[in-house]
Amino acid sequence: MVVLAFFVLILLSRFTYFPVNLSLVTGYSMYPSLKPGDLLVSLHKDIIGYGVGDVVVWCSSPTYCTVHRVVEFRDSYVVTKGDNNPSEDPPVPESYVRYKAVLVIPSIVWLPACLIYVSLHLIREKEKILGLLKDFRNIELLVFSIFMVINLALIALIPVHHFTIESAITKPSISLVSVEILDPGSLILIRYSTQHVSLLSVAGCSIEVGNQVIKCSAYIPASDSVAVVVPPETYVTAYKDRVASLKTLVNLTLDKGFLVGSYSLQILWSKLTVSVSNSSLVVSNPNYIPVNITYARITYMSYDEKARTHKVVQVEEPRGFTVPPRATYKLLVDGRGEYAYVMIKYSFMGEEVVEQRRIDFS
Amino acid sequence: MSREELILVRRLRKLVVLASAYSTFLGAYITYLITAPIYLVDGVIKGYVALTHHELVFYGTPVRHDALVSASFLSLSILALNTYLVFAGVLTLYLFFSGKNFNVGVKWLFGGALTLLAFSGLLLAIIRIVSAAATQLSLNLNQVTSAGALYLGTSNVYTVYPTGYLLSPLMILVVTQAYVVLVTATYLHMALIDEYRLARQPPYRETRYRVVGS
Repeated sequence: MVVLAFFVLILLSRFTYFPVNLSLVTGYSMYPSLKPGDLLVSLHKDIIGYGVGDVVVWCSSPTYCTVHRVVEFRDSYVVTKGDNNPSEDPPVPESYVRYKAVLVIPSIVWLPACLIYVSLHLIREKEKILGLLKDFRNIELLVFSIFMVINLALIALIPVHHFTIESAITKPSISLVSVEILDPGSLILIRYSTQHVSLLSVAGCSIEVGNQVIKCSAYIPASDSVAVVVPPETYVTAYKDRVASLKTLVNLTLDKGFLVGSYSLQILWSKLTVSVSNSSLVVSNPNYIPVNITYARITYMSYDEKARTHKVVQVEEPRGFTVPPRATYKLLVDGRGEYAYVMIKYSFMGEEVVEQRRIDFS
Repeated sequence: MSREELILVRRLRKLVVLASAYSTFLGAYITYLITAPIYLVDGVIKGYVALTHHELVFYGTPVRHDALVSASFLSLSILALNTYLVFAGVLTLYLFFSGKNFNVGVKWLFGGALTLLAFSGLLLAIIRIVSAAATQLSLNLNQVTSAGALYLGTSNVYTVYPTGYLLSPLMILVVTQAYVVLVTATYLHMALIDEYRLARQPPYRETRYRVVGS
C-alpha cells in the first residue's frame, strides 16, 4: 500500500504541484549523463531554482515531459538540449519547466534493490499470499490488481518524451560564400559553406551568355569549392553581343543529394588603360578578351634651343600587337630625341579608340 | 439437475472452450500487432516503427526517437498481459480437456478480461503516441539556399498492411470488447451453475464454496 501510495503521489506530481518528481529515463537523448532505466529524482523549481547547465524536467502536458539540459534563456523562454542530441530543442516557455534533477539512481542500483524488497516482502507475507492464491474467489481480482499496479508504476514513472525530429537529426545544408572570376578569366571559382554534406562531383556545367548556352567543364579543387573552366568563346560571345553579365549553372552531386546552382557574374567591359612608366607605354587590358592594337606610331621629338622650336626626329610605326586578357603590355620606346609621342589605335565595342601619350626621356 | 441447469452446463462447456481459445488467439494476435512494424519509413530516413521497438536510420546514423522509446517501455505491460492471456487460455483448455476443474481457468480468464478492459485504453493511447511520432518522420529536406536549389530528398511514412489497419482504434475495441463479453458470459454462467448447486445442498448457508467439476 505504501508503494502504491508513493506511485500515486508521483503520478500526481505530473498533474499538480508536488515538491518531488520521479522519472524513469527511457531515451538516449541524455546519454551518457542519463542512461535508459536510470531513475531520476527531481525537486520542484520553486524549491531549488535552476540555471544554465542544469538538467530540468519540462512538461508541455501531464503526459508529455522531457528531461534535458538548459543551454540558454531567451526572454521568457528556455532552450534545452539533450546531451546526445545534435540540435537544441525548440524554446519552451519558462512555465513549462517544473523540476530540476538532483539525483540519478542508476538502474543497476534501484532495480536489484526493488527486486530484493519485493522478494523479502513476498517471503514475509508468504502465508497470506498463498492463502490468497488458494482462495479461488479472489484470483481474478488478484490478477487485475497485479497488472494495474504494474501499469500504474509504468505510467507514473515513464513520461512520454516531447520530441521534435529536428533536435534528433542534423539537417544537411549548403550556402554560397563567394563567386569570382579568377584572372585571366579562364576559371570561375565558387566557394560554399557546407554543413554535414560533402561535394562529390560535378554532374553538369554550362554558362549562359545572353541567349546562348555554352557547355563548360568543372572540377572540385577543395572540399568546399568548385572551379568552372570557362571556354574561351564565352567572353568573345559576350563581347560581341555586348552582354554585361553571364550566368554559371552547375549541377553538383553531393553525398546526400544534389545541388543545382545558378550564379550571375558581372562583366565590366572597359577601354584599355594607357599610362607611361619610365620609357615605356604601359597598356593594361581590364577585359577578359584580348585586345588588338591595330595601329601604333611613335614620334620622336627634340627641342631646338636656338630656333626655339620642336622638331620631329623620327617617326616609327611598329607592328600592331595584342594585349592579352587581364594583362599589361609594355611598349618600349628608346631614347631618340628628348621626348616622344606614342599613339595607339584599337577597336572597342564597335568604335575606334585613339590614345596618345607623351614620354619624356630626360 | 434441473433442465435449466443442464442447459447452462452445456452452454458453459462451449463458452469455456470458446473463451480460452479466443484468449490464446487474442494474446498471440495483440502480441503480433504490437511487435510487428506498423509504419515503414523510406527516403532520407529509413526504417520501421512498431509499438514495442523501432529502427530508424538517417543517412546511416541511427535516429533516437525518445517518444517511441517511451511508447516501447509503456507497451511492456501490454506485452506482459498478452503473455498472460495466452497462458491463461492454454491452461484453461488443458484443464477442460483433461477433465479437471476448469473453474480456476475461467477465473484467470476473467482476471485477464478485467485487465484488458483497463489496458485497451492504454493500448489506444500508445497507438496515438506512436502515430503522432511517426508523422514527424515524414520530412522534406529539399530547400533553396543562397547556393541554389538543394535536393536532399524526402522521407515518407507508409502504414504497413495489415498491421497498421488492424491496430485502428475500432478494431482494437471490437476484438478486446468481444473477449470481455465472451469471458464475462462464461464467468456468469459458471457463477449461476454454482448458485444452482449451492441451492441444491441444504442448509444453504452452511454449504462450503464448491466449484464446477470439484
